[in-house]
Amino acid sequence: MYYYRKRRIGGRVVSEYVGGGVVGELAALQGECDRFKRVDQRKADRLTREEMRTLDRQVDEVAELIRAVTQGVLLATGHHTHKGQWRKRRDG
Amino acid sequence: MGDEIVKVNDETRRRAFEDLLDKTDKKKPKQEDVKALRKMLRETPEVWRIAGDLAQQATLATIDKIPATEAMKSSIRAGLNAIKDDLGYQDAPALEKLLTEQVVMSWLRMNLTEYHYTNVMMGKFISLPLAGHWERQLDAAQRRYLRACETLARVRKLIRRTPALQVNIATEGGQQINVA
Repeated sequence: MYYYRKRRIGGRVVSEYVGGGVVGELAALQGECDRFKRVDQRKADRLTREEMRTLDRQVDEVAELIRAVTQGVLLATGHHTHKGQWRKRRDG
Repeated sequence: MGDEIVKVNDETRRRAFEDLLDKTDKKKPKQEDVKALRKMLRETPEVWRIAGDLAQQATLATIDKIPATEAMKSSIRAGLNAIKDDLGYQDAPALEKLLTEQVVMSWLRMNLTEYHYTNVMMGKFISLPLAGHWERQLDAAQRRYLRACETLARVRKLIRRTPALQVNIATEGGQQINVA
């Protein structure tokens, strides 16, 4: 049994001879193990990203509510926006 | 809690509130519009509690996602309370309390993102798209946190310059609280 490992060099995939016999089998096992770890890692990454997206949505929803309330209070207490900045009304 | 969310999400009331924000966000708004806005803020006290509750829920949900032991999470919760105290949460008017909650929430969110980013960068299998994703996430979380801090600072400055202008919002038990 001979074991070849695929490697990407400068955007090209090349086959690399690793060995035959026991060495080849061990290398094949190691390669398989690494592949499983990569798949597991990808799954975990996807889950984490989904969870974080849910958290982001929650945080954004709260931020939007707080922004509206803040705007309401500032307007009710005699402020207005001028070129995107909050200012106190002269007669407020 | 469910009923309260329905009240806040009530489209008609929300639209009326946004309409009033548009009408009063002018150099010289009509006094009747300002009065209507004050009235609306006074008559929907649940909005304060809900906004505060939602902020706290988002903070707790974020803590839950931290891969740490329960003891560690307790210490994070205690740390967050200490940050709130440092920001003067206890004696702050309701609006500043809300904005402080937002600062704490976005600080925690930024730290969790930093944790994931570091993990990805130190991992055995770093994929460039994944690293790029976490870098953008971290960037957004940092911006969110800075914006929250800026808003708190700006509102504090504005409100403290006009101590005579206060809106008192009746709480459920009939007690009056200062919001600004």
